[in-house]
Amino acid sequence: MHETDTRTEEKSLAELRKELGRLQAENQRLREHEEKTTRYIRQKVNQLLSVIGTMPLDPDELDDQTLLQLDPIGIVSDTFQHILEHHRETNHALEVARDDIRAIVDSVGEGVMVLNNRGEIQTYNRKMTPLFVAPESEITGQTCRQAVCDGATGEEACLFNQVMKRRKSVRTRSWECRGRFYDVIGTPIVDTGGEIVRVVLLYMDVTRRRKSEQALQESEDRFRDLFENATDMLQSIDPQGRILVVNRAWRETLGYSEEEATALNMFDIIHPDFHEVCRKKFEQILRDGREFTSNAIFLSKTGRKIHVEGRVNCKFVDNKPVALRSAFRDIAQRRRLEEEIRRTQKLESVGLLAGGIAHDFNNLLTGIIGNILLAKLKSPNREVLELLQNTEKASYRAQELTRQLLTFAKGGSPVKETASVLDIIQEVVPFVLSGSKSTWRLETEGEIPPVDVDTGQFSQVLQNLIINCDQAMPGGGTLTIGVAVHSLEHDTIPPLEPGDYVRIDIRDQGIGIAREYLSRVFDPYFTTKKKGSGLGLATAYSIIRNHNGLMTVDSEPGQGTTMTVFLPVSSHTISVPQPDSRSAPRGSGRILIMDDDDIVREVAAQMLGHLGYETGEAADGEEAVQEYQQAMESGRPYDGVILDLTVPGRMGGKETIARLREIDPDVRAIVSSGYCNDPIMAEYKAHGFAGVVPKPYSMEKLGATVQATLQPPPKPE
Amino acid sequence: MKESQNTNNIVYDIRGQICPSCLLFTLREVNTKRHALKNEGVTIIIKTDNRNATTTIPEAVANMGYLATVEKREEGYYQIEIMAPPQ
Repeated sequence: MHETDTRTEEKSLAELRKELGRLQAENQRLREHEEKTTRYIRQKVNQLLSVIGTMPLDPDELDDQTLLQLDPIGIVSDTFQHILEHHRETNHALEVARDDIRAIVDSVGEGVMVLNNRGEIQTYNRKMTPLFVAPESEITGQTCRQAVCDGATGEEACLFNQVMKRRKSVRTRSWECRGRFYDVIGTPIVDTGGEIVRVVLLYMDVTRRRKSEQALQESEDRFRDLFENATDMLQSIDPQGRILVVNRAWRETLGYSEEEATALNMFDIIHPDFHEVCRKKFEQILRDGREFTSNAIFLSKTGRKIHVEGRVNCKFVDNKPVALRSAFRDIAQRRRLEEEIRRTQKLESVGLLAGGIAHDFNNLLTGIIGNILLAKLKSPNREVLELLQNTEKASYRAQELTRQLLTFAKGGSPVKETASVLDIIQEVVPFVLSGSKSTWRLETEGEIPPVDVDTGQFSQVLQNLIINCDQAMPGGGTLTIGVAVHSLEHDTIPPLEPGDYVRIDIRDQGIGIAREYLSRVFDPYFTTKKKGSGLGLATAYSIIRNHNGLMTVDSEPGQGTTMTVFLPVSSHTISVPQPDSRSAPRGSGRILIMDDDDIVREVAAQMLGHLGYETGEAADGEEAVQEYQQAMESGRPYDGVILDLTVPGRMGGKETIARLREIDPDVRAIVSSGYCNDPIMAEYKAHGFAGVVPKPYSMEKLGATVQATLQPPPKPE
Repeated sequence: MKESQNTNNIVYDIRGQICPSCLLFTLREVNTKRHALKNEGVTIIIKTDNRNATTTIPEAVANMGYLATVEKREEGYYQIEIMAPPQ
């Protein structure tokens, strides 16, 4: 039993050892499995922590047991769920934001276009559509250069290139695209690394604004032009009296530049005598704003006194004065103009009277001179001949007087030809000064162009002026005649029009003219001479005005006098003068004489008879037409007619020639009148006449005119 | 770890802990207090003396959609306040 028991115990012990070994092995396996599991958990937790972005687990800080209790995988899983939920919310918010941005961009009243950093279009709003050159379906992905400007903008000027280069917002103003104008702003969008990823271009259509600006600019230019070119002196002054702005007339009159003017105070240009009254008015208008008229003397930069008249008003803003606006006028110029008008009116009334008298005188003189000529031809008695010659001379002086009177006649037209004033001066002056104690010299400046003048009338002007000069120097002296071209750019010498003039200054060294007489020297019948007629200078003045010129006078007592004549420069060249025949040419043919004055008719008939012509007579136009027609019908037509221009109460020369030309288109007619300054006398060809003979006429003049008129006109080649 | 709460603030004092246990602890509290944070205006305040936590915690809660501010206190610890962003 004891042995058996021993064997049994040994067997049990062996089994126990075996079981122990199995259990130990099992335990070892479980420990290894637990370690492996814990490592796995640590590893996965570390991975998850790495995803979150934090450091791995530290075994010293967190032992395995604590780790398992903390349940890090559970925490991180919940965290991920939390993060995903947040991302979903964020994505939703981004979608809402994207839709909001789209709606905002579409609702912007301007074109918006987004480009990537290669300049390719990523998106745009509907306002961009009109700017695209390609169909809209092809736009996305094209560069803005292809889609919008079509390469018309240079590389340097390209806004996208500028944004990429300068890496900041860039603005281009008034960029033109197919007839419209845009202000374009390019703005870069950069990523977190600072690289440009997008460029947003904003196109603001400024066409209307630009047109408004242009219209405003044009309007301003127009008003500035009006302001600058006003003939009045315009100025604006601030309430402290400082000059703000002035126009050209102001600057030219006072001699200041624009810069100089705006550095002045108003009292700098006002004569000291007017300071007190101007200061009172200035203070008054700043208080009550009531416009007033002012007369004052301004001082130019050189100290010249300028009499001005004008109106001043004040601009108020919020009941405070901000500017005084004034328009002044140099009244010396206005006074000159008024004087000119007064003189012209006086000449017109006197001229009307003189013209009527002269016409009757000329008719009478035609009879007197004609009869004297005929009497001289028929009288063998020498004494009688001498008396007749004296009578003839007196008659010619009377003729000269009537010629002067006629110069005043309203509407008198000089018979002009293109001539050189130098030639006329050199012809007239030596003749007038022959036997005088005075000498003369001619001074010219540059080349003197010709003028259109009635040489006879202009010679008379010169003659009158030279005689006056000579008489002003009874002891002799030098008379200087200066001739130059004078250009008038502005209306500076009223009433002359702007243009080029030949200016003739005739200066003497005489006694001069008292200042109170200066304004009257051109008045008819005004004279300071005991034997003067008062017609010399008035005639000269009237002649020059009838030539669209002007005569002025300047004189200082004791310093001499300067008479100045302005004549418009001619656009023609000088024609070659025709030789003048003084002998009365004989001729033949039938001449009809129409004149209401019996004496004139009779004298003309006798003169023409003496020269070899056969004559018929008519007292008015009706009678002349009847006589001319009857002569034609009877087979003895007239070769020419002499028609008096004016027949009081009956048909005169103008109507008669019209009727005669209906009967005979080839009629050869001469117009004759005592109104030798009538426009028809000057432009006789335009009225159908072939010749002209002013009354009174000499036999030589009448014969030459009739002979020239009866010659058939040259046939056209 | 000490916890205290007044009306809207839940305060955790985890001084002595180091990362990542600070982070894991905070994430667990943020996860469990999600509703209160988002809807009741609750702010979780973490007091920590671990410097790494001032970086890891704000970054992690930002990914979850919360705002986190860090303030260094004179007492020698950091106070991290976690709250929902304003609506």
